[in-house]
Amino acid sequence: MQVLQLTVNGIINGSSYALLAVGFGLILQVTGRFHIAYTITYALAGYTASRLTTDYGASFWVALIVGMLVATVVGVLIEAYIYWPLGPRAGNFALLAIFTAALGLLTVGQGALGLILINSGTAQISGFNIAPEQIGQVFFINLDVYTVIISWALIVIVALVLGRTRLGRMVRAVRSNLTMSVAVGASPRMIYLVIFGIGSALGGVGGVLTSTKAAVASDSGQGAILYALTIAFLAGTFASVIRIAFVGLGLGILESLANLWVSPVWDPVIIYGLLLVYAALKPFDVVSKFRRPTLRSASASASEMAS
Amino acid sequence: MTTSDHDPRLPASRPISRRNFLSAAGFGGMALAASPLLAACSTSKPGSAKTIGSATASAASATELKKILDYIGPYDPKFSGAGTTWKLGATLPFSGNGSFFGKLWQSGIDLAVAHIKEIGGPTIQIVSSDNGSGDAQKSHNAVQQMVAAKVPGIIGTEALGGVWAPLAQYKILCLDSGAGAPIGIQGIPYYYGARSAYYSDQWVGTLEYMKQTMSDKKSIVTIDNVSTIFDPKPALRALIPNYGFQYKSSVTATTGATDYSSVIAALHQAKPDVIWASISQFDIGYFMKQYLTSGLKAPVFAFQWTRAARAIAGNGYTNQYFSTEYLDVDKPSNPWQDLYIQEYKSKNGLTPEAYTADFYMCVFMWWQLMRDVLAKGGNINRGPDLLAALQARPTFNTVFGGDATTPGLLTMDLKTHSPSALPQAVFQDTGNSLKQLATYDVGGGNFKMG
Repeated sequence: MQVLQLTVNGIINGSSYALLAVGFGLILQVTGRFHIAYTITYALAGYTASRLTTDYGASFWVALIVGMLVATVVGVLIEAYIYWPLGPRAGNFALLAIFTAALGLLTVGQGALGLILINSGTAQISGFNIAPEQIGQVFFINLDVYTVIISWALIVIVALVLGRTRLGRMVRAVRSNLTMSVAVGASPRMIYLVIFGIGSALGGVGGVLTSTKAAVASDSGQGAILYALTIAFLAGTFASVIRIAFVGLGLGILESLANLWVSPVWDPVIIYGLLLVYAALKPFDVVSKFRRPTLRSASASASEMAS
Repeated sequence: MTTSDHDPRLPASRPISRRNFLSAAGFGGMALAASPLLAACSTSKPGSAKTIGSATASAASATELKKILDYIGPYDPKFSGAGTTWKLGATLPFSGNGSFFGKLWQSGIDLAVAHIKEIGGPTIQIVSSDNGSGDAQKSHNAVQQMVAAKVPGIIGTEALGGVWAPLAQYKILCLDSGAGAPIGIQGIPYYYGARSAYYSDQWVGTLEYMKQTMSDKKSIVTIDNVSTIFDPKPALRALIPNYGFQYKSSVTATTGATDYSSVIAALHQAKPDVIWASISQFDIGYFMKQYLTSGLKAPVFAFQWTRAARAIAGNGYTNQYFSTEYLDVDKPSNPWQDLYIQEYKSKNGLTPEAYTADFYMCVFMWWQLMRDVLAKGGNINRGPDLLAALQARPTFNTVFGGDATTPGLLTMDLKTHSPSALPQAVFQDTGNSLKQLATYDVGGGNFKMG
């Protein structure tokens, strides 16, 4: 029976990981940016939802949508006014400069949120009546059901948008070969902004849902973003949205089932251990993820878009 | 391609100049630098000296505050330290997962500093430093800052992050109000616990309460964090059967965790009659919140109650049990406690809690040591003189316990360096208040129901 309970726990947590990993992975895949300030948009969405529900009496669902929108806008602004202008100025050091800027944003954001929460330590999201659910001897809460449904619904929507629309083809072209994508009419800057918007929106939804289950704190999402990064690596930075999502789900289930043998305190060791093993066994693959795509693959994407 | 369409992943079309690189790197650097500064704004500027007492006005009248003198024990006013500015250190968690508590504890210290000055004591200057919530490197740096600041004593927390050697080396006396001096770090030179030892001092009193009120319950499962100081499980496993209970198993939770689904799954498997949760700060709040809707009904005993964790747990705290120092804000047990509660509310707009009062009390302990050193003609800026004063008179009046005429007592065990007497209580969170169920002294002595 414990196996079943842990599997359900793994599906719930894995769905959250999948949502974040898709959001973070998209940004990483398309723009090549280690946007670890993703944590800030995650926490900001939760904080917005908290203020709306506790101070303004907004319904949980309104707060969820507004939180998502705030995360989206902030994510887009970060790309538009910080990362994008920094790239050309930093030249060969663009990757490092943008990563450093993201790190700076993260620490500034956490410091600022810490100041805001100085008298309470955390903020709560109200308006959702968390209730226990039970099927046989398996326990969960109603919020878990919503988390799983919303996460997978958003993942499928993003997968469809990227796989079936002109926007998706442009995204793939930009991801494959930015120079050639411009030649066929794509605007990399616009694509980057769209991707930051989509990625941040997914993170925002994850932030609100997870913070409702726990609370909003200045370091909210810090662990989650590292999991998302790990999942994005394990899936491969050119993996499809669905593949990233299933790797996230799988990791969640694996992490949970590991508790059959080891204490929960080992969970991070297992997750990052997997990353380490992956990196050690497939060093050339890991390195190649961050190489520029080959001319052949870029041409294929550009041709696809042009058609 | 326009400039704005330049691919940041590709090499720049023009060679990078030193100026460009520096401006890009500088942006990140500035951002990184700004964060600690922001964090510092939220605290008392760790690492920098700050005079707190002179900046704080008291809400109570001087006459009312002077009532405190009736409770701290008789002393010769000429050794009160009035007119003296005395520098003490405080290593508090201003960063890391306990950073919120650093600010909270500082408020207890601030209030004591203000009270002591107003009732005729010295101006106590607190040199605060960040211990990174027990991070060894930051704790080491914090202690080094204390050495550089030449303070004779430190109000310590987080068991000082394991950095004890410099205390004896530089002869700096430390009174730890955060975690006390639990088993595993007792008897360390110059290091004393100024509150109950984190968890172990509550074991016997809590088990005695359970024995008297929960005879229908048998099995106990404990929830612990990994402790770098000592593993409580062997001692608890041996102790619990003495009170008629069975130690069933233990679940180890990650410190700072917000998701307890794995822990709760383990509890479902174990089906205990009682849960013994030795986790603290926000962690206990997150656990209780998720426990509420877990389908489990076993009562939970925890060993720290803070408002912040209660806010997270919400109704998850209702009807659960706590066992530690206790402050009854509705029915103070002694007039000093009453005054402390009113003053804390007035200054901070918050109802105080016992954990903060530990730090308030600690500053008064320091003042007693100062007076004793002065009375013996010693030097208040020498750690050995302060230590000698502690060894000569290891009993302190406290805001905890006591009655209408007598405050409670903290007696330091000079062998373990942990209190051998300090009032504790088992209490229940009723949803809108705390209800005292039993009182006892650290280690379980003087146990009384009610």
